[in-house]
Amino acid sequence: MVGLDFGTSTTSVASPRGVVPIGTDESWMPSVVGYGDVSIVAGEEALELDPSQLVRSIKRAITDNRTFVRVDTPTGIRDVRADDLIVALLREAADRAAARGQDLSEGRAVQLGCPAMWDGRQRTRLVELARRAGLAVSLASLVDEPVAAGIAWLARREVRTPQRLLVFDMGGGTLDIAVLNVGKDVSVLAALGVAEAGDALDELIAEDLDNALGASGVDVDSLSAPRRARGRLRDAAREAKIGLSTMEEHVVVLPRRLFGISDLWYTREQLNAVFAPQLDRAELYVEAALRAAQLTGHVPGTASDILRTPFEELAAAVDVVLLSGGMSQVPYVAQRLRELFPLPTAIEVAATPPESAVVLGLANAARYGRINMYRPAFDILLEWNHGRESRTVYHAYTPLVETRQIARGGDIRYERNGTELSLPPTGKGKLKVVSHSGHRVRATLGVRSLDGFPVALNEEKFEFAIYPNGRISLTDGSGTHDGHIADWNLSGT
Amino acid sequence: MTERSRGKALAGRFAGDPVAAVCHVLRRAAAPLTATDIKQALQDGGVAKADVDRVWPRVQRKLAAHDEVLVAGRTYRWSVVPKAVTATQALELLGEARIPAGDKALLVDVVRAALTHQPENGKHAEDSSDAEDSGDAEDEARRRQSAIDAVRALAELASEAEELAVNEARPEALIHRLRARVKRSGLEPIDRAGDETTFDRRRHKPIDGAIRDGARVLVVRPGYVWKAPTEEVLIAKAVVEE
Repeated sequence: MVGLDFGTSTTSVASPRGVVPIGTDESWMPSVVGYGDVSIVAGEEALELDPSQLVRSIKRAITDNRTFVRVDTPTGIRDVRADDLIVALLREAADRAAARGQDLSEGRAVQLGCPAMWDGRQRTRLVELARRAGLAVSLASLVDEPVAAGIAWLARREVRTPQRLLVFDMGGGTLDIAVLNVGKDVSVLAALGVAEAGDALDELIAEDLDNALGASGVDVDSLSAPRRARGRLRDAAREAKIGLSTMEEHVVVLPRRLFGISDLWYTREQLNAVFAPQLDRAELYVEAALRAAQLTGHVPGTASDILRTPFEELAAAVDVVLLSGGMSQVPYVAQRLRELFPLPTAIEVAATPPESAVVLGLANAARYGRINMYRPAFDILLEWNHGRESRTVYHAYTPLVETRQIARGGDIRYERNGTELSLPPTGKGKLKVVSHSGHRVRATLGVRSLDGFPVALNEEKFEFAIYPNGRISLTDGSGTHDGHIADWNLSGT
Repeated sequence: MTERSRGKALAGRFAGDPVAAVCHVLRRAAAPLTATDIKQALQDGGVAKADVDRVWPRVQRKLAAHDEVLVAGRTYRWSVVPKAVTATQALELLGEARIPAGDKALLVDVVRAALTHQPENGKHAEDSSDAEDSGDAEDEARRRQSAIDAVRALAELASEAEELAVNEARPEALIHRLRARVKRSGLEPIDRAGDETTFDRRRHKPIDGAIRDGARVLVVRPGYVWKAPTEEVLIAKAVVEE
């Protein structure tokens, strides 16, 4: 078993024995790729290129559904296929892992992480690129990143009774929150990701230092070299953030010739104050994720019921809050979550160091069954005319619950109607279930299996719905049929 | 047996135990088979495609763990050679007439490896499997990383100290920054340079000669304790003078 975490800023590999160092000097490789004079280069070597020749955070091309990125190539500045760059980066990571004894191209269980928010198209794109890079992977090899963080925690202990976890993964680029039920299997009850960049904190600290200097009578704009001074402050801000992870106060030492003063003390409280608005927003996302999780599984209810549930009740259902991602090393993150959840809820780091949680979890993921109840891993197609025509009624990995649905109230479900699907007015068709994980989906409509269910086509009447508790409903030309997904699609073993 | 009855036999075997049916296919094959080849052979033997596809993921996992199935890349091959064969067993098996050519090559490799790699420290040749090799490379990479991380901490400390000195940092600021830096590596200081304290030989080291416990001393340079996750290690005692 090998895990590959293709992250926004770094790429890492791990085996069940721990992280396998693949960097030239760090255990990870920077997720940077660019055009050298002769060919595409990836990792540390790419960092040595001119900034116009390289792309940082190439993973975002998948998240943003971008086909091209603009780079300075040997033949001039042009839009190049992001896919080619991603393949080069993954191939470089695989080559380095192979040199350190982990061959990702053989029939081993390679597990590849992906953001929980990615849809089927984005997941398929990554898998295809990984295969082009020579990795032995399929859609079933993909593990949602917060699930991996949960597994990293789970792999270090024996869980006797099922536990509900909330994974709080705050990295440089995004905040991912997932609610999981763990035991023998790991089920995703809810997952959401927002572009709440932890990196923004550095800028805020730099501004705060600027203000603090002002309070000490130093106006940065009036200094002899204000641009240089601001550069120093940004660097000092990064230092302060790290320094305050272990100390209550940090001293920013400044060149007296540039600033007129030699140091400035900055406290954890000051940092907390600038970080607070970001964590206020994060708390709202935690609440939204917990409400969405309430709908999944077998708790019946409408959005109004869920909206009425007091937050304290939702929080009390969480056994452990797991911290993952680099930003969770800022002590204020744990402090705020401690204040948000009742005392019996434990606040723990998913792994040490927390930024390795995802890759360590991936390396252990094959040991646990994974069920995505929030974004089922199967397509439901409606076929007619002997399979020559078809519509996708449900695309795998589409979330059944949208956060905005909860806010709106009413019934919460995923639904599609005949008009949206442009169905013919009459005729006969049948449903087809396509699993993306190799595991059969056991689901029924009436007394029949969902797979192969005959449909009386009718553009006006057709309505198909999946509820987050597994209920399914189909209305066609012949009436309404109710059913259930017996076991959510396992996306691993 | 006719083609038809053979087909029926395979379909019957598949219905009872799909893994056994696949093993049967592999045993009869002259060359390694891909998953597609195996599935085709089963269909040729009268098993419905849907049935094959349905059980394939489970069969695939069983094959990977099967003692007599060798998985190489995307191919499967029947092998009478146990996966963890020792050099002695390999030599004995080579003497048997019924060994297929593919297995013979494998056994020869095992014997050759045993002859060219002399066992070290009582280690047996059978230990040198692929897993062991990959473990070595992986462990070596981890050892290298630990060494780099330790040296990096030192480089960062030196670089920070130089910056602070050039910026003419006040002693109070300088000490605070250096202590904060090493605390991130789990280092806790013992005393503070310039402070007066009482001599304790468990924590203090005289700069010269001997000092009795309880004597008033001046701290020349602080010591450090490393608070590792599972233990506390005294890295250096504080150096003191009377």
